[in-house]
Amino acid sequence: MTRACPDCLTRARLLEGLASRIELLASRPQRPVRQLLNLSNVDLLQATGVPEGDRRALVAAARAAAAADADRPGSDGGVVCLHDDAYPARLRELPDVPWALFHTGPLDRLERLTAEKPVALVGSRQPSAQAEQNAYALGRRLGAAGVTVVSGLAFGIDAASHRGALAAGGGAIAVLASGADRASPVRNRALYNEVRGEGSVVSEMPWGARPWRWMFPARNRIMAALAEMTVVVEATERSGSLITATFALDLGRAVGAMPGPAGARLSEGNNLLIRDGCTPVRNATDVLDAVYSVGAAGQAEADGGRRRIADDPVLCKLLDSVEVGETLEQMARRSGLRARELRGALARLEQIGLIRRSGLRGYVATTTG
Amino acid sequence: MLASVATFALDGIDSREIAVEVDLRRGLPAFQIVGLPDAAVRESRERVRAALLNSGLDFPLGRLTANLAPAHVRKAGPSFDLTLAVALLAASGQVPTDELGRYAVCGELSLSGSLRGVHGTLAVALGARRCGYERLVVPSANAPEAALVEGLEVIGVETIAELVDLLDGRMEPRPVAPLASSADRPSGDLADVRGQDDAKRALEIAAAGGHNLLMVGPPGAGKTMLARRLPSILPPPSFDEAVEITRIHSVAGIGNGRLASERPFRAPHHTISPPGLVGGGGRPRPGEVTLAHRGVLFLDEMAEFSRAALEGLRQPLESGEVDVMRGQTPARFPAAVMLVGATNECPCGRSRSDCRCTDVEIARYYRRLSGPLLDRIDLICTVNAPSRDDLIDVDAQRAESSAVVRARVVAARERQTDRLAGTTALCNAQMDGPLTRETVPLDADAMSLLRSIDAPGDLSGRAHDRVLRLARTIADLDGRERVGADDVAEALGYKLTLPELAAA
Repeated sequence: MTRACPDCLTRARLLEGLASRIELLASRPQRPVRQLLNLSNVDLLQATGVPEGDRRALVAAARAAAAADADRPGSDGGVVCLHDDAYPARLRELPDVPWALFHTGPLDRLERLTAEKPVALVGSRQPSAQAEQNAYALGRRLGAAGVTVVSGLAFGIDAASHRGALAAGGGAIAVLASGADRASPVRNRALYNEVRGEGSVVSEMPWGARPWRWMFPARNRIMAALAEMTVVVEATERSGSLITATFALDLGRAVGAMPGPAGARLSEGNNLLIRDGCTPVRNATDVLDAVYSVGAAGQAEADGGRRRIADDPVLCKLLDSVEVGETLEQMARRSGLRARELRGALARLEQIGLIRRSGLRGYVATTTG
Repeated sequence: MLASVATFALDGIDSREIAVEVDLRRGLPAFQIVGLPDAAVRESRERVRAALLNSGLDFPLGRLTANLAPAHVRKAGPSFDLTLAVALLAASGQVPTDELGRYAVCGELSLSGSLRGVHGTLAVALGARRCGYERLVVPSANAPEAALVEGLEVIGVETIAELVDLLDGRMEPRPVAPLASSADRPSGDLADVRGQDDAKRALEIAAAGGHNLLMVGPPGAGKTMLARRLPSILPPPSFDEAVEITRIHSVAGIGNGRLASERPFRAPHHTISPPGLVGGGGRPRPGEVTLAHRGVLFLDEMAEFSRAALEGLRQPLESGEVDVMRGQTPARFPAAVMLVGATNECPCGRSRSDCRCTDVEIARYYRRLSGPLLDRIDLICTVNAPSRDDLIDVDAQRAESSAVVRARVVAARERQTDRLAGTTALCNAQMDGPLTRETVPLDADAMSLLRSIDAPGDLSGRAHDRVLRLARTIADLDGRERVGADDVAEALGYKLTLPELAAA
């Protein structure tokens, strides 16, 4: 059983039923998708040109499908509609707010993931190697700092961002254009399963819906709305990521862009954003500074990481040792680890992202010094 | 009269058969040696003449021509003296010639007629057996070494007169006991080292899997002391290995006159030339990497070695052999070594708080390190100066002795030998990529740990394999067939990756 009300579920199914018609309309520049999504059911049927006689049947079919959705067992996901308190508050700020949000995993997980300030990482599907690394590093450090990373599960930047966040054990939300139970693109199925297992996959479209082209900008507005800040890692000038950035700006949210090489075609989009006055983002610290406040980055990261090892007193002691720059012998003494366990423990801290190697000089804490 | 006696000349660390022919005929007294002799061989004439006369033998008057065949090979050193003398005696009818074909002879003469030891007797004896000689005559000082070779009757003689008596059948050869292995343990014991648990653990892993190791720490922290103890925890050399080691050291003249009981430890100074390290010279001589064959090559201050010298180590570390070409002479030397490098954290070598190095200096220092060698190094460990507590606390429990650690290492090696039977690898460090993935079964936890860091830029394919090999060795040390998450985590802690250095 789901908590969403029948009207909201019907709306989702209706959108699916009208998908091909909306596709046709949305391909014309004078009728952008978001304008259509802002319409009531009646107006939408009118606008998409459904013949008078067919409308009743269409709505009835949508209602029937919605009833089936409502009876769907909620074990591996559910629907939350805008009349529910658990509906992500940020989404409500959209003028064309999605009525229902289909999500995988338990609802309280989605609530937890959207409670703090999520950050959306977006960018090209065919990024440069450097940008892909940047996205991964960004996702990882944000994840380590306890910030939920929102992205779209596409190839390239999206996938790298998700991977980074998951590697750090952080929160990840994937917003799909298709139904949330469909791994799309299919080649990212493994990643889809990981996000589904650790984080949450959400969509405005009902279960099983296939993706249409117009659903991607529609999806982008959800990403922009879910996130406190949207960061464009790398995008060409005609990239969908710029659309997401525009949506975020419309909502009055922060938009950041990683600088790319001047003259690089792959980076024209993000560089354009910087020229237009977006926050330049060099690393996760810049993002955290923008989302929280200057200087908060270190604290957030430290807290986020610390939280993750809070139930392991040995790792906590070890982290203290690294922060004050002790030698390995001193670390071993303080933490009570034997030599053979010490390196493993340090590697785990490094993997979480709390410490890193500094050349040949051993380990330093990532948040101090 | 014409006589010919066989001997063996050193050629690299092998020996090559040489026939010493002497032709004696009437004419003005003259003595000439042909066949590319060097100065030491040419001077042999005077030693032979004096030795024969001082031993109560005749030096034949007449025209003497000695030929060292094959004529195109350069001959060097004094080890032809005795052969030349015997050939001369045979040519002048002072010893019977019918048995001489079964003998190979080698040794340096003093003017008094007594014999001095020569280098490389073991290589000579191996050559003599290979060429089918039944008896080998060597100075008695070298006889035990030569007697290591089975299937060859080794005769040690003190003087030329004694050899004549032997050939005449007036005396029986003395029995020769093969070289005993040396009992002393010069390399020290791991129990002497206080603290340094991290480095000791790294040494143990390195020894167990045959991994190359890099130690990082300030001067005086004990890097050399630790490395020097590595042979004491490596598995003792097998008899064949001991013979190999002894033969190389004998050729180089650095043997202690006993059979090697420990693996060699060589620590060349960082100013060494490339040929000094990998071998070379007019007549190719083995370099340090060959002298460390089956043992440990320790490069202290690794960043200070010349680029060319370090580059030269690439091939030996890859294949366990080194090919050198000098002039027209190619030579191949065995060079299966474990490499242990040591370096400071930064060029000044001071502790982090006192360091005054600029970023540029540090970057340059690391760049010198990276490149040719670091991708052959599996482990990195830290050596800090021992704390006062460790030094003062005399009551502290004594550290494990080398023997205890060695027992674990040997057990781990045996597991590897069983597993790797039928492959080209002898230990974990020698496994190539496909073999690594095949022989390292990861459990689910280990897999997810590895996957969580398996990302672009974080761990290249090669680095990935390196971590797997290390984890394999760590599990072997514990006697486990499956590799667990803890093994992988520890391996990750000791891993050394180039991007970290390049970025630093």
